[in-house]
Amino acid sequence: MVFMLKNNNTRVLTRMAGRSLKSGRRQSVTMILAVLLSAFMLFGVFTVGMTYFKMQRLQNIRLGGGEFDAIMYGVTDEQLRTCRENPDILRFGVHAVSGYIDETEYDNTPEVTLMWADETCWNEIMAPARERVEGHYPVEEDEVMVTEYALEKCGFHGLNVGDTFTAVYGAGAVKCEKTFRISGIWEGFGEKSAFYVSEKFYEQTGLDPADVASGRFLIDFRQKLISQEEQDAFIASMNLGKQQRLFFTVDFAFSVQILTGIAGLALVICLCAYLLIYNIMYLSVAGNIRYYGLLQTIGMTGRQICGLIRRQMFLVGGIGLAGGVLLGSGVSFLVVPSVVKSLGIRMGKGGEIAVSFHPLILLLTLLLTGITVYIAGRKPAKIAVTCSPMEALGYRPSADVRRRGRLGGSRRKAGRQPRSGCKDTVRDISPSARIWRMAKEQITKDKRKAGIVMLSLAAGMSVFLCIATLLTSQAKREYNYNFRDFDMVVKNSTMRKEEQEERVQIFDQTVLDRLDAIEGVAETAPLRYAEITVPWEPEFADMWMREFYETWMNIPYEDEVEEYKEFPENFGSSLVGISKADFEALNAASGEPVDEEEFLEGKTCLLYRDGLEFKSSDVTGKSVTCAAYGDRTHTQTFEIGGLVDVNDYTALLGYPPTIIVSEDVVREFAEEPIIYKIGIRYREEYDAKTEAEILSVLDAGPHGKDYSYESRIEMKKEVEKAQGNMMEIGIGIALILALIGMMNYVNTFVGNIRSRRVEIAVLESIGMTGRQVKKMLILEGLLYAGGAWVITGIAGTAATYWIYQSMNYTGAEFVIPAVPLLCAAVISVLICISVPAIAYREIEKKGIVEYIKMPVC
Amino acid sequence: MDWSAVTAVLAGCAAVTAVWRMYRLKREVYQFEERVESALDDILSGKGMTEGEEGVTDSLWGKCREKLWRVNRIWTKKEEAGRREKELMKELISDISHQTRTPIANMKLYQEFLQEEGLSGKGREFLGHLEGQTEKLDFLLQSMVKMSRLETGIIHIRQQEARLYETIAGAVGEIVPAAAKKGIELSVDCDEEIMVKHDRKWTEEAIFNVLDNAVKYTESGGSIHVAMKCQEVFAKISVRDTGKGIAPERQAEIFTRFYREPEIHDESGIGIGLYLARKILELQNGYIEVRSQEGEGAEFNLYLPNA
Amino acid sequence: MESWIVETRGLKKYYRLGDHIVRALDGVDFTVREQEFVAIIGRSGSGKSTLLHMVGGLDTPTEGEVMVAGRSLSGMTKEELAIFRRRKVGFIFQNYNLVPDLNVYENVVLPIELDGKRVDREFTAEILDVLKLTEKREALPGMLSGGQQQRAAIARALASKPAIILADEPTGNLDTASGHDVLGLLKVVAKQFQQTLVLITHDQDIAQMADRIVCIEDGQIRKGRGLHA
Repeated sequence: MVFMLKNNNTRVLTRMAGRSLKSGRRQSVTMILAVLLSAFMLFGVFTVGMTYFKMQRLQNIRLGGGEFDAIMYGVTDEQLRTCRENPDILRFGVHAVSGYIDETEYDNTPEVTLMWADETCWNEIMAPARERVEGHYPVEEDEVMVTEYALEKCGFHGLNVGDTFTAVYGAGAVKCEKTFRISGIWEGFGEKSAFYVSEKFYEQTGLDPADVASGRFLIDFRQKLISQEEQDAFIASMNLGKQQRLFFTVDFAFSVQILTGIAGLALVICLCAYLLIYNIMYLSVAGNIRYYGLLQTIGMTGRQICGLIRRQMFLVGGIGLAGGVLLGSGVSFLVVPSVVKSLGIRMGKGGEIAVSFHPLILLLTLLLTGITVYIAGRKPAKIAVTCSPMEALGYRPSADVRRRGRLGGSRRKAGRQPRSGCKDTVRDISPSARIWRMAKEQITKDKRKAGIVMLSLAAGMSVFLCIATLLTSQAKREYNYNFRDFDMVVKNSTMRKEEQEERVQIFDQTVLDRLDAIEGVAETAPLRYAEITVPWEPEFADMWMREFYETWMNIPYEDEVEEYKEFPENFGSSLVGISKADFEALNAASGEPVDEEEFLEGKTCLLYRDGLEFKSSDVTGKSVTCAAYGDRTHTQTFEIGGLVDVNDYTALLGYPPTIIVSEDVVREFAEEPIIYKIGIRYREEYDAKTEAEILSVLDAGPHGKDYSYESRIEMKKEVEKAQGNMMEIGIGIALILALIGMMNYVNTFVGNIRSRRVEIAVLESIGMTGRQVKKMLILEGLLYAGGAWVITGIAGTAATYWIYQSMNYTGAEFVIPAVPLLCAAVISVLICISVPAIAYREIEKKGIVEYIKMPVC
Repeated sequence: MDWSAVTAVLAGCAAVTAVWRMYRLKREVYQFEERVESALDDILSGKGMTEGEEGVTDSLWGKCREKLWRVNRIWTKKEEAGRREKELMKELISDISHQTRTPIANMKLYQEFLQEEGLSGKGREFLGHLEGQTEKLDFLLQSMVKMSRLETGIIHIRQQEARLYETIAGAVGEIVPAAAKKGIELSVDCDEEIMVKHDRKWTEEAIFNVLDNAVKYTESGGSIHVAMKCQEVFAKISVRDTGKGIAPERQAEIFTRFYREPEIHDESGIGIGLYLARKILELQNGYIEVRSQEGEGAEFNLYLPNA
Repeated sequence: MESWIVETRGLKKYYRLGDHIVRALDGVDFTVREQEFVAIIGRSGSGKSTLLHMVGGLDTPTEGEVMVAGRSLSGMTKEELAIFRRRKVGFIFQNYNLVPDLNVYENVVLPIELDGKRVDREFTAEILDVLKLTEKREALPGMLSGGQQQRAAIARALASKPAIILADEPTGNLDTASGHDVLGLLKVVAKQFQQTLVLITHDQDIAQMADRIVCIEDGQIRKGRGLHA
């Protein structure tokens, strides 16, 4: 094979491509619009995603004070070694508590800790959270790295790098005064109320990173998205000690959801654009077979025809992409921040959400849209190339070829028509049924075309369905965060006071009576508690406290057991009284129901588990004794019926267990048990009037300001606020997709009717009335709409259901929103009907004769 | 500096250079091709190659140009030789026509002398034949001269905007005596105002030849009708006779040289008139056609491009 | 030895139509001399179009060989045939087949540009002038009359200086007067630009204009008619 230089003959193709786009303006504009809209949407969706992840990362960095994916409390040498060997870990650093500033000459309670960060931690992990650093990280034992904030907390003002200050610090058991020299000052996010100390200082304190109280181990993974299984596997590989905890800072499930959401949307967008462009190109090539054949007769090679179509696609794609990206970047800056906010990103002060623009987004948009356009144009180009000039010369426009192939489908139809008008000969079939059949035949004639149009209509509608379902189910969500699904829960705020004397009964009988008197209130359920102590005894109390110390405390149980034995008052707890209904709710939720009678009689009690590693069998059957707070002689003993995880009923949490008993028992045990919580149920859900009345009753009481409340109405407001513009944006996306689908439909139908002009003219010339023709066309339109809805009904609903279930934490029921869907259906049917009607009027204007005379060549 | 960065930068530079070089090369190839093509076009159209300094540059094009120039030289020379040969032929024909004129004139003269001599009946008959043949020879020679002049392009057709009517009138006027002699009715239907670019003298000759042909093949008592019509592209002059027509299979042949209808050997003429008419029209970017059915007369249409 | 620009030997084209085989061409030996104007006549369905398509490389024969300008068309690929047509053949069709998006001038030079060749402006201008299209050179085909469109098609067929021009019923869509005009022009320009012209027609009058008439009947050339040297 001789090497040959390629012929330089492409310029004319570019010109021809431009010309044919100009002459087929309607199709070109539609295609450009499709590309533009899809590029726009892709760009928007990617920008939202990018911004979300970037902001999430920034948020994590700011909240955590560094860039890391997991934090572990306490780290042993062995775990360090494991991490060092783990290839998935990019870096890790130790961040250790090395004491606290106890007092300075200006402040007695500075609440400033002393921290030590190792080199990786300070230089790499924490660096992104810092905004300004002066000086260097402490090297000498007396050097500290400070923040203005921490200095001020200690009462120091105007200190600078190089200055010294004196403070009493505590570390472990020791407490001593020391003069520190400031080696550096930093500003930013993270542990701001801390002084960072040198390694020498840390070693000198005798603290150990292996200690849960001191060591915090920050891990940054190479991979940014870590699945739940991988997280679990990593936790398992670390072989955690009993007190050690390991948390991942990123919510993998949510990130994956957002990622799949973005990918899914991108896919649907591309699909819609593909379907539209493919269909237009296919129709235009099929309608212009003669044109391509002609080009071949005058010596255009297949390669050149390919090049011609490719250039057309390139022009369409180029214009559309440029417009779409411009539009996208314009709109993104306006819309994206609110979207990202509604996805749950909150930036603190000075942390406005900056829209992330990344060349990668542009590239990805260009690439995806480009590929879509390319693939959409490839098949039609192939068709144009494979048509031989001979075929093209013999080809007649409209459905002629198909007619030939199917042994005269529409000709047979045309011949049949007069018979249908003549009722004498054909009695068995009415004219309207005949028209119906003709419409159906028209659609089944080119199944591929009809299928594509229906699919593209269905894609838009499915997205609409999905978004509408998700949003309405959000709106309809039951905000059942209150115990026993009360509409409102009122809490006694004095419960938070330190001193027992300040915790008072603010919901007295008059308040309760007034509440009950409100018309809209169906039920009030006060919860009472009495403060108690649980005296030491070896059987149960000792076991409980030992476990409690092991899990929650830094100091060993042995250090304090003597104090506990002697002064149980220092270890207060509460005896909580619940109603029969509450008990039933608890029993229903727990796996091991407790005998109701015994509970109500006061024989048995329930204990709040408080996160301890007890099994029910460990405690059931044992008895627990409680004494009234301040009166050691007034005791009562219960048999333990079981453990409860629900923390709705806890009042004051102490070290000893919270004992839950029947409300009568509490009232008997204590003189006036304090009502710490009231659950209120309204006659009508979300009754704002009742809620206002309740609040006015509570405000009117003597302790008007000492209550807090949570209500479903408030929660709903909150969630709606958080959702922000999600609704509008979701509907926007669905609308744009629906628009693309509609464009496809309109384009196909108009093209279809145009190519059938002759056929319609023949039908009219043999006596079909204009009304009948119109009816036939409208029926066709209806069939398209129906087909699209069937696809939406099957595939769309299935996809929606799947997405819905994967996002459904609250367990809300899957309900398809009827009203928006009905609206969509009505609108789509209207459009499907009006397009053929309008298109028909267009051709009707010109009269029949014109089309019969039209040269069939 | 990082090694990978250096490598990347170097690779980038190399890639850019390579792309640039490719682009340059491609452009040069296209330029080269264009030059070759335009040079070939010039040679083909007979314009010849212009002398340029590229011929001495040390480039592919310079080399190629040198070869092309030589091809052009040989081509021109050959063409010149051909032309000279043709010229010689023309001279020869011209000479022949010139040189034969005197002997023929002399022959005619002697024949007249001979007539005044007392000849026997037989001798008178032979003399008659001799006179006829001499006449024919004269006509033939004259026609051949015309033909050769037309074909070799010695005669230049000068197309000028003129009234076609006048040209037609000239030709008709010339044929009137012959038609009258044969008793053929002549009618002309012509728009006097139509202006057509044409060579009056030669067009008149062509029309005359067609008319002459019509008179020749039309019996006494027949008629010849001349009409004119202006079409989109051509002006049409049609000459319709009521003669015996031409069989379809011979229609394409009647415009060829020395064609004569097989039945009419006795009539004068050497089958060159229609050929000349065709030639004249072709030289003016027009054409001639005939429509006829055997026994139903014939219609000759002469087309001249209008405007 | 004669130099044929077109030569077919034993050309056969059969195709199936339903159950029986149609012999569109059944052993045709057809030759065209350079600068000759040949008219092919025959009834519709006689195979004359098929013959033209074979010569133009639009269709491939069942049997036999087609030689155009010294090249055999058998064994050429689709792409090669397209390039062959672009360089050697000018087509003129009954329905003009101009590219609707391009104006007259662009249509005329399209085959040249498709070949990436330099457009000979003088030559093109001359053609347009002879065909009386100079004023219409910027017009789109849709704005022209049938005769004008066909003249544009003729100009296109001539512009690339092909070896042979193939015309398939070029006057079929025109009224008699402009049909005549167009054909006369075709004949004139073919002569003027020394082109070989093969024309299909069923109109005897039009065929008369040719130098030679070939009559096809039932896929075979009928002998002994309208032949002259």
